[in-house]
Amino acid sequence: MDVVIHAEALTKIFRDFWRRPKVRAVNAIAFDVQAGEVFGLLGPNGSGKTTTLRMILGLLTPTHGTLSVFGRSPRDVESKARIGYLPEESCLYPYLTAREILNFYGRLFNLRRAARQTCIDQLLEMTGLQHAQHRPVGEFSKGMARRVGLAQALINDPDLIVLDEPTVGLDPVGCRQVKDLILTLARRGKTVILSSHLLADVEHVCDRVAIMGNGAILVQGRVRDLLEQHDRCRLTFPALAPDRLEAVLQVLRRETGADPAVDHPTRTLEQFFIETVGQVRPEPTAPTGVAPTEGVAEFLKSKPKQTSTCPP
Amino acid sequence: MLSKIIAISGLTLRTAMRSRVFALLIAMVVICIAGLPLMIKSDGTAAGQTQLFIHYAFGLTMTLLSIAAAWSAAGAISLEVAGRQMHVLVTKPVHAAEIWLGKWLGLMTINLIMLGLAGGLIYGLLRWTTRNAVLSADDQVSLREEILTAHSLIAPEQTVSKPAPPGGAGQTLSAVPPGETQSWTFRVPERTSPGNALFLQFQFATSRLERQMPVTGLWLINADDSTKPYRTLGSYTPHVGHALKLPPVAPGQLLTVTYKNVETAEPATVLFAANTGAQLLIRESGFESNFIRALLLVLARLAFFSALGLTVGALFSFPVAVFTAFAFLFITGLSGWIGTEALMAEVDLSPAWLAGLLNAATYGIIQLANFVTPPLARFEPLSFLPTGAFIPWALVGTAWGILAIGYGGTLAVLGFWMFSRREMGLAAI
Repeated sequence: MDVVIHAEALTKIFRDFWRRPKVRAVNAIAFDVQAGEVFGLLGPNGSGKTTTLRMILGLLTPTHGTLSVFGRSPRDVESKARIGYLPEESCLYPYLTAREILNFYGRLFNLRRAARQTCIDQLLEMTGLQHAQHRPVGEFSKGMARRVGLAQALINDPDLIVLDEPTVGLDPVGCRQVKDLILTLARRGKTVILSSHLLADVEHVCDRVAIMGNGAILVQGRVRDLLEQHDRCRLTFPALAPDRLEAVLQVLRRETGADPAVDHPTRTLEQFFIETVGQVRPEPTAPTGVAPTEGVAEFLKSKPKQTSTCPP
Repeated sequence: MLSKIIAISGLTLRTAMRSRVFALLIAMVVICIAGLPLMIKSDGTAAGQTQLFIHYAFGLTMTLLSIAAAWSAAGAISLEVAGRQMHVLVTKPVHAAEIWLGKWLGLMTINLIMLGLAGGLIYGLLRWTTRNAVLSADDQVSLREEILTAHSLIAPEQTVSKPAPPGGAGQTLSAVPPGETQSWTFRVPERTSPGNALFLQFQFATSRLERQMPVTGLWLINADDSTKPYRTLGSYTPHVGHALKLPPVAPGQLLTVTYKNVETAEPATVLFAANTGAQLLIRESGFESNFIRALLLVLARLAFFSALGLTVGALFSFPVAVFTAFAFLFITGLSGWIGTEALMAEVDLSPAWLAGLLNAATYGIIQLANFVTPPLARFEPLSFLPTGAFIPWALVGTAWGILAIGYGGTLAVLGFWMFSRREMGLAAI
């Protein structure tokens, strides 16, 4: 597998006006992100996640250590044509409309006019902003602005997508869409690196995670390997009548010598919310909000590892 | 590369056009220029009124647009860094130079729009206030010949005056005490068309403390083919430019102009600048083309201010960038004074070695300031347009070469370099 991001002894020290070291935000971390992998950076506030992402994007320069993206310096302009970035906060031009913003970023990737317009239409449809595409984004709600930010990150059909807190400000339906989108992109062989506080989101979509604290990577590995409890196991049955359940438990007690716990599996609150809201959805939506939308933009669903309909 | 620069300049333009600051700037320019004719108090003549209107309207336009250019340029990058739009932009495949150039082009388009608007307004008001229904035929002719035209200045070939008194002032000033005379000799250029009137432009100071008190003087003009000199007696205000219409003179003739100080009521010595005290004016082109060249001089200046603002904005936060840009503009505004007066100033201290050290340090700093600031005074349209002085295309080209390409280009290279090295999203510590 190709290594998309390679970091070794990566350190970032922030200095004050007099160049005296003040904060060691990232401290000698090492990790690799493979092509086609969804990699999560987790950690509490101030643990160095965003600083790490900004170094990957070339926004910050590492103080020590080595960092390469697609085998090149993170500041290399050519390799940026293969990257999409959704920042932690929606950093949009407030006087421009959603379509104008997407058109502007599309032009920076030298997308041809027709292809650009197709991509923009599909992204606006995917984010549910078609009806609001001609309104200045300064008038948008936080969630709507976040969707424009997500759309601009995908305008070039990037090979590496860097998402900083991608679900912040989105409603549960939007969160679910983002997670579905990440999984779709991963299926197409795209590499995704994301940071989030929402552990459930990361657990659902990430292949591997690194947990950071005080600027260092405390632990990293495959999500399944990290979470699996090898000294315990779980059996799931269809609902049993009380007498049959008791018979099964007696067998288990006799065979294991332990007292097994019994409960009913629950859906996640997210699943429940989406099912509930889904029943209400057929009614007309308010014209100012986000329109109901299904799935992912067509050009982002094209065959894995092949040129999409919007080549840069 | 070009398409990215155009995309960034289009974004800059679009963002500016939709901001309230832009609307406010347009309103300010329109109100200030349109209100000027109501506020100007001249000497009562049509020429004086027109001259003052051009002077103030152009001066006001230059001041407002220069401030707006430096201000908006300082914010074009620094505010986007603060608002984090730049964090997204630099993660796209664009070079720092493309961002800088795109921003500069966008700002220059705004400058062009604003300057076109202000210029159109000034020209329209000029035509409105000097229309046939308002001015007499004589005033119209006088305006057309003196102000609404483009004369070029012919320096004297020879200046004849009494020997200068001991001291430095004699090198730069010619003194004409009461009853004395001062003469200049001009060669009328061959390109002068016989039908066009010639003018003598002069300006002087006096030895009086009262700066504006007029002085009576007699002018004697003698061409080498005439037998009788042309004479005109008048009362002239010091420190104000005057234009005296001369009788027709054939091209190539030698013209001797003599000033006699005949002030008797309150005698005073009249002081002419040695080189520019009296000059001959010949018509070179129409007012409209001169007006466009004056606008192009202003645009060259705005090109420099925009480059300056962008470059400091590429390095500093918005408040620091604005402060730095305006401090530089202030020093640039003083460049004329720095180049003359400040270099002559000396510190008188004891011990002498300390005074010498301070003088050497001050001299060095002033020379450095003089070197790094562009020679804006050399390309000052107010030195030309209100007096009907011709602005040569060569001067416009030189202004663009020095201000926009020379200084602006140097700032651009500095801006690319600093911006490409700048870190975004630094922690606030």
